[in-house]
Amino acid sequence: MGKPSYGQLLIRLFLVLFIFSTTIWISSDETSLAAPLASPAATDGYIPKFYYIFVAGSSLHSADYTMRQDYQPGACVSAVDTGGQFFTLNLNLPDGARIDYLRLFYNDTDASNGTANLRKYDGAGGYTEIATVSSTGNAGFGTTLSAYIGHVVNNIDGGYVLNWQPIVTGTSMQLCGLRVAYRLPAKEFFMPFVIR
Amino acid sequence: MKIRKLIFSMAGVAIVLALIGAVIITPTSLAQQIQQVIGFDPDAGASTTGQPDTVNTGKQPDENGYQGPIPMPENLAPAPDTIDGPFGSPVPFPYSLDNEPDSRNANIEASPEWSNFYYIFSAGSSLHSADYTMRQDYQPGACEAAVDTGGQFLTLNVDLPDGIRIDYLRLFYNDTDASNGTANLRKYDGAGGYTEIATVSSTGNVGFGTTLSAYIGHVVNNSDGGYVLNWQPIVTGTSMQLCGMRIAYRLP
Repeated sequence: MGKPSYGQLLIRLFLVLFIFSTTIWISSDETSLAAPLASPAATDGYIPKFYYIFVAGSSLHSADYTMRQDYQPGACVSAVDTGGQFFTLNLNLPDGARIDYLRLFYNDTDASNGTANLRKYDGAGGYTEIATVSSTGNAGFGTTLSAYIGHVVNNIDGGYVLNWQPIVTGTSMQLCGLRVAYRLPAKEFFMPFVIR
Repeated sequence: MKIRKLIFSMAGVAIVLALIGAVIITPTSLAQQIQQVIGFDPDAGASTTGQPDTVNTGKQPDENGYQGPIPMPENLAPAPDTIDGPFGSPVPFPYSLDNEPDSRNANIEASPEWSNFYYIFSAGSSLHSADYTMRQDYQPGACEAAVDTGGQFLTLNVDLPDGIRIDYLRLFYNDTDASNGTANLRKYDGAGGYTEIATVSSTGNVGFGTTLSAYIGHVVNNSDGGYVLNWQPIVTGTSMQLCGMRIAYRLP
């Protein structure tokens, strides 16, 4: 058995690096998924794993012409003219999914606090408040989490909307993102496109 | 000979390290090059590596693997809301749509090839103006009216999977005007053309109401066009409001 050629040495080096990096990636991912859940509300009839919808701040649009939006680096947005209206985004989740948390990502250097909410509108002027969460402090970038929600999605009788109300104008109050954490039913692994 | 081999070996290692370095460094370099070419970048100043990750410094209740207590909501009294009005108990659905053609208990065709109905319900405020000449005016309950002109569209992208069948489009409105606002579902081909899939208008002028399109029966194919919900108010002012649209579809 002769000495390996330089090409073979290079290939082996690549393989070692590839296996090393893959091992790190897989082990870190497995760790996060395999950990047990402590919350009883987390497991009853649902797959014990969170799924997420993460929307950047610039994904929202102003719902009213009296409040214009001002793009900030990193897909954050602030308000112009007034802080009293909504930036808004349609939220499309499958029937049966359980919305557990709403997380707000912000850049807040203002004494006031911007507020995000998740509401379900019935098409006749009424709505149900499902979750609300506000920025805190004035230290800049940060994130806050809503209380536990536990709302099961039903698309037949209303539309879900994410809103953000900056309260104040100017770049001292920026929306940088919203994240909805939800679970899927264990029996009907639905993604309505999978089940009948 | 040994020196030559050593040199080749070191060269090989250097190439590998250079390749790895290039993979790591290239995104930043590309971003800088793009910015030099196009000039102003609205994201200039943003960190390309992100802000400190405050979410993952410790497990949070909305993360897999969290072990701590669940933050439960406080029992809040109805709160004042300057936009939608005060909220209290969950609002019951105001319409009785049982036995309508797009309801789950309707006498739908006995077809083993298709499931019962699923829905996409979009509140009025989910739509945005597609043209600067028509601004949108938020009304309580996520309804929208038009300012400046009623001749343009409020619009929303509809994301549906290939193969499902769109059967109905339902319009929810607040119409106290003699005119009628019109909603449509169109498929745009990316070359200036479109196919009208459904259209439905408000009726009368008594305020809140809902109307249903004719049967559609369109099977979604995303390969050759994009689906868009449009609403054209026809008139300006709060006498014509879009409050929502609902698509009823079935799975193969």
